[in-house]
Amino acid sequence: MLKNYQVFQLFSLKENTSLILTLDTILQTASASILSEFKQNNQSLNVVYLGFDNAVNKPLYCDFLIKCFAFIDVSGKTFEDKYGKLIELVNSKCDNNKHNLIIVDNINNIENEYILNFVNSLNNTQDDMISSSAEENNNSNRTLLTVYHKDNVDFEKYQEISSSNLAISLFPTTLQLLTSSANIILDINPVITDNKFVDDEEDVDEHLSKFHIPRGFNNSSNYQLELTHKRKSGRVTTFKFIMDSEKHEYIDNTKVVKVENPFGNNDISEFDGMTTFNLKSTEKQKQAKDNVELPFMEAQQFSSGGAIVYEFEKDDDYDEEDPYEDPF
Amino acid sequence: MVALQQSQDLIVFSDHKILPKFSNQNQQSIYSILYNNGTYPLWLINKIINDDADNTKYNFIVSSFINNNKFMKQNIKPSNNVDVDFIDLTLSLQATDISTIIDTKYKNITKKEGNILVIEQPELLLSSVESLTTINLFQQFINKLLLSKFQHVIIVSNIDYYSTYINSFHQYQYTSFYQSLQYKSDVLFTVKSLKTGFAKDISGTLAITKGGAENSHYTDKFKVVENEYFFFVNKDSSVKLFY
Repeated sequence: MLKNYQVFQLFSLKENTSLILTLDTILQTASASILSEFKQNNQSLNVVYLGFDNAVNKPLYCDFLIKCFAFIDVSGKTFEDKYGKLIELVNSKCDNNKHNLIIVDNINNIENEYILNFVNSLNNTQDDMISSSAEENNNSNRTLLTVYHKDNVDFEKYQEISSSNLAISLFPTTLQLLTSSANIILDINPVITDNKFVDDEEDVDEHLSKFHIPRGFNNSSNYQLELTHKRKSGRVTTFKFIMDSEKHEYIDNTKVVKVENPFGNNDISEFDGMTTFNLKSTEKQKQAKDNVELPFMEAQQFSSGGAIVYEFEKDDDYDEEDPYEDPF
Repeated sequence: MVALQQSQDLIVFSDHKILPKFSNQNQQSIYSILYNNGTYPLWLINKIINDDADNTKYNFIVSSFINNNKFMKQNIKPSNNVDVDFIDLTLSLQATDISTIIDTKYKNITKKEGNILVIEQPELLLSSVESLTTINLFQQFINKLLLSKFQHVIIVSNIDYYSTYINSFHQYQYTSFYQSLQYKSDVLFTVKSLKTGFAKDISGTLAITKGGAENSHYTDKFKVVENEYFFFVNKDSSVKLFY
């Protein structure tokens, strides 16, 4: 089994991570791909799944499914009224002897102004908040994973424009809040080049503009993961992986990324017999071409600083006057 | 030409069934049927009701926000022994509170085992109920139906209201409704008309694609088979599927 140490470390949650943000789209949803990796890599995790999107079936990769809609008071005026019951329930499902992973699928269901409240109250128990010792907080046995649908961005812009309340329109968007506070960002995307049902990204966009979902997407055995890791030291590292959630294999793609020649390949043999003129050059012509000394080569020979290399020619008119001279 | 093309059976799962047979009896599912104006897929609803091998074990309930019971009864023709009930929701668009729709219209349904709901255009509630959001529509209506009344829900929606540039509250709610369908569905049926307009022997295409719902219950032996069929609606309104 191919396992990259870094990814393994991440999914098993051995390092203390408090907030993971997962970005997905309708073509590659997190619930059908990456969310299963955590339990797979660390069986001792206690996974609590807050199903907003999926409120019917308990996925095999979680220990508890909370059907959120039954515990939210829609008419609640304050955060406490609205989500108090839900947060209490989550706390009761968390196991103090194990590491807990709380998955919120998806965070778009929480109002923008309540996001920070929601994230913080799920991440810390009451005791944590009161305790002043930083050390204790570090040993928190909870990781919160939020799923954010990237498709949804447009409305936040719209809301900002239309909102008559200035305080709300100046408030950062959900995505901004989450990306700045998350320790790890998992951006997942489908592998379009391997999909034989679509030509390219443009083709996919055209399908999506009519809401026709092409075949071959939501493929859990082949998708891209861009992992952004913000370390305590402040260093931010980004890795790319090709993921297979069925065999649980991860291929490091960071170095594998191919830089294709933007001018196409230089192999012109495919034009043989197709043109009326000669595209090829002979060996002798190539050698002659290589030996031509380009005019700017001389300027590079001066070892220090730049220099203007200019050869005075016959028709040139040399002006002796100093153009910067004071005329008076 | 028509006679030459071999007719195909509608297959959704790798076990050749249309409706899911999960090993876990409590497993529930959502199907979405998406169509445009001009491809209204009554034939597909008929096929799902009549062509599944185990259809006599289910109890189908057909509800529509756009067509009344008279129309639905005329057009949905269950074969022998298939149990289909109709619940007319056209007048429910006047409701001001969506929870009352479940309490009044579905009060006779007491257990969810074996119940399959075909519901047409629940997204119209986004327009009829004041300041209703997609999130609330799912939380207070569709999720509630799934929680206590139905094992499988088949949502039939018209995607003409989908727009990529959002200008109003309603446009946003409709668009996010369709996106949510993709995120929540197990299977998506997209009925498209021909790009070129009309043809004598093809009416359009039906694409069956995996939805984005969690798929940890599917195995190699039991999974969604993605496929794209041509379909042709005959004059006697029988429908033929072929590749």
